[in-house]
Amino acid sequence: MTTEPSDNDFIALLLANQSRVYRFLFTLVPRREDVEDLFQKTCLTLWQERARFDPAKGEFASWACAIAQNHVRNFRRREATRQTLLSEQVAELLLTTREPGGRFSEDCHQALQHCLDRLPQHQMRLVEESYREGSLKSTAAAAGRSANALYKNLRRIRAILHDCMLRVLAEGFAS
Amino acid sequence: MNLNELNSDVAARLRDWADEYVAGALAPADREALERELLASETARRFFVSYMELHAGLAWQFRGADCEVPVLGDAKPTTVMNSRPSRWRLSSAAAVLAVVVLAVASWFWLSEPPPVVNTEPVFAVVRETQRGSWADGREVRVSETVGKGPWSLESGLVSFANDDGVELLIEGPAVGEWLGVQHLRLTSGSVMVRMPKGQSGFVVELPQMRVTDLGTEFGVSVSPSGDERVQVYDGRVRAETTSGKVQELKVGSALQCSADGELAPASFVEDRFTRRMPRTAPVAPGGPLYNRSAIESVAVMRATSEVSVDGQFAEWNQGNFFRSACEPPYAATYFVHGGMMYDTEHLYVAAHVGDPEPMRNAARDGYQFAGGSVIVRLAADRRLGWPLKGTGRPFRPQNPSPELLADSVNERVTSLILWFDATSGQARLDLQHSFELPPAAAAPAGWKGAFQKDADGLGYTLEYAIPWRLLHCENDPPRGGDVLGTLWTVHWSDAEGRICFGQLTDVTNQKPPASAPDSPAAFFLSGPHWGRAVFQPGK
Repeated sequence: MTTEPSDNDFIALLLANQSRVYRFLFTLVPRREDVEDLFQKTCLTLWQERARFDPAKGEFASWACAIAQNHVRNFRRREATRQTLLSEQVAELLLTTREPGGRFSEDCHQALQHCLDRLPQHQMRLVEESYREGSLKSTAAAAGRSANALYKNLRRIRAILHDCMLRVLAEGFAS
Repeated sequence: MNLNELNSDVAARLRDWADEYVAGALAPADREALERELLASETARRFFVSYMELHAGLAWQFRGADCEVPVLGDAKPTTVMNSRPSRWRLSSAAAVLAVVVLAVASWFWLSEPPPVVNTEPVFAVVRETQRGSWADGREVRVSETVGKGPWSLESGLVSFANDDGVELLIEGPAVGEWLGVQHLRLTSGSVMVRMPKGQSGFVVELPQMRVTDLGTEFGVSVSPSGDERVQVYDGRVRAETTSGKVQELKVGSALQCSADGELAPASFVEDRFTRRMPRTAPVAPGGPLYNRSAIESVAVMRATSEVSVDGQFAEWNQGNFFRSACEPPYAATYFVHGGMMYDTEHLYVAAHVGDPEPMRNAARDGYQFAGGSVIVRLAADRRLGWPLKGTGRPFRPQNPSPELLADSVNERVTSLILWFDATSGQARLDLQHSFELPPAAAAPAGWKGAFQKDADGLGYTLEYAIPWRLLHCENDPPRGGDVLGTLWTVHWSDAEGRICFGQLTDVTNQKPPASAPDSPAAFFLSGPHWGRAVFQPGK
């Protein structure tokens, strides 16, 4: 016999898994504003459909990502003419690459956290300001530099972080 | 599999493509190349996914304060949406409150544009919008900015202005891409461009043509079938095809270019483009899409041969059809061209409906009419005469006369709701009888219906054969010489076939009584407002 989670349990599950859902959406839909929109829709659906979640049938993250994927399907239908998304075939392959339960993605995420902790403070500040402000322009203005220069810098930092992530994935967290 | 061992050129290329993909700026050719790379190699896919995880992780970690939600009940406000799991200390009460706030906030967020990482300059600002809606469902907002990248306007009219004083009026549905402050690509739909005096140089790229402004006001459009059109309202423009043909157009001239690049002069039609934001309130009677009825009578011809119900109208004389359209600027897009025939067994209905979102009805329970439908109402009882007297309850006196009550509850007054169920791909017929209008019910077997989408995707045809018994008059069906009350209503929906955003009501009494209702949208409840169906004699 299974017990339906209480609202308290449900919110705890939702909070614990929202980052996974967000990142799952990001794999399928690239533009951040679209991801944000789909994320909010998914959160709302999860809450509205919470009575249907049965822990006995699988993990919360799998259920939540399945709902997120339905929203992405609707989005793809609407976006068909925009031709900005990768094809459905490629998207399916990328989902497979994430591995069951998003295992590979989780490994990547853990590796990213590990590498962020080792990022020099000034680089961390640029990454944070760029993403938090939503625009490189204001960050550039505040720093007295051109947006183009900051953009190049940001790309370089992303490459450093990514190289670090790949090292961690290959060699473990000691690297 | 060590992803660090991926060829450095390939790795750099994948990262560049991923950056552009996330910025919404990946060129079609690069997208195809990226797809080829990802299809060919599992290593490339893992590399790409790991890099997208980097983007996603950073986006998640540093989401802006706009997305924060206070968790009530904690000693200090904290955040739900922008925190790492380790920060959450939810008491039971706080958790419940948090989820309520989350749900409410989600509704709020759904209507608010989310924060965007925008590294591109602003090309234009939304100055005005009437029912403008982006393809992702977001409402277009005044003061919203647009920059480099693709866009898709689902519906409505949106006016943009840029720092140079250029005004653009884009009518949805339309798809395109901002290429620069003075440079727009239009893949489908229509755009009006108005330059400030003394300025020129705005360029619109169409699939087959490049249109360059030489100081002017002009409209460009691309139909779903690929036909392109330029029309000059003021000044001059230069049109140059991809094959190198150049033509200069003056005020009052128009040019068309077929999907295969053939140029031809076109007639100048003043109202082909919407040049200004309509100043009338878009919520006039019937909603943003509405009409002014001018038709009182329709001829119902006797069918002279067996009618094949296929949506093709082979047996119909369309000269007997009536045509009604929504008010400008929607007249060319939202219209109905319809008619009726009869014989001793059936009522036949045919209609061609202009609808940019045809046959999308999602069959929302109880609101099937709203997802796109044609409703034909007919009082198939000649004793009721014309004008009809019966009304729905809202327009009936508190103590109606027995005669008025009898007319109002007459079961031979039938509303035929004709719609296409996009989920099943089937034609549907729902029925309501009398002015009491009980919930619509699916018609019992015996009727036939067919829909066909227009070749250009901008409308549909419907054709029905409905036995008189479904109108409760099989023993005394209408015959030549009868004049019966009738009313036609067309509903248009959103792209998902769920929400009605406009309607047309026609075949109405042109000298209606002064009594309520005022709005044509409520004429269905008022028999005295219905028009006439004049049954023509025949063999």
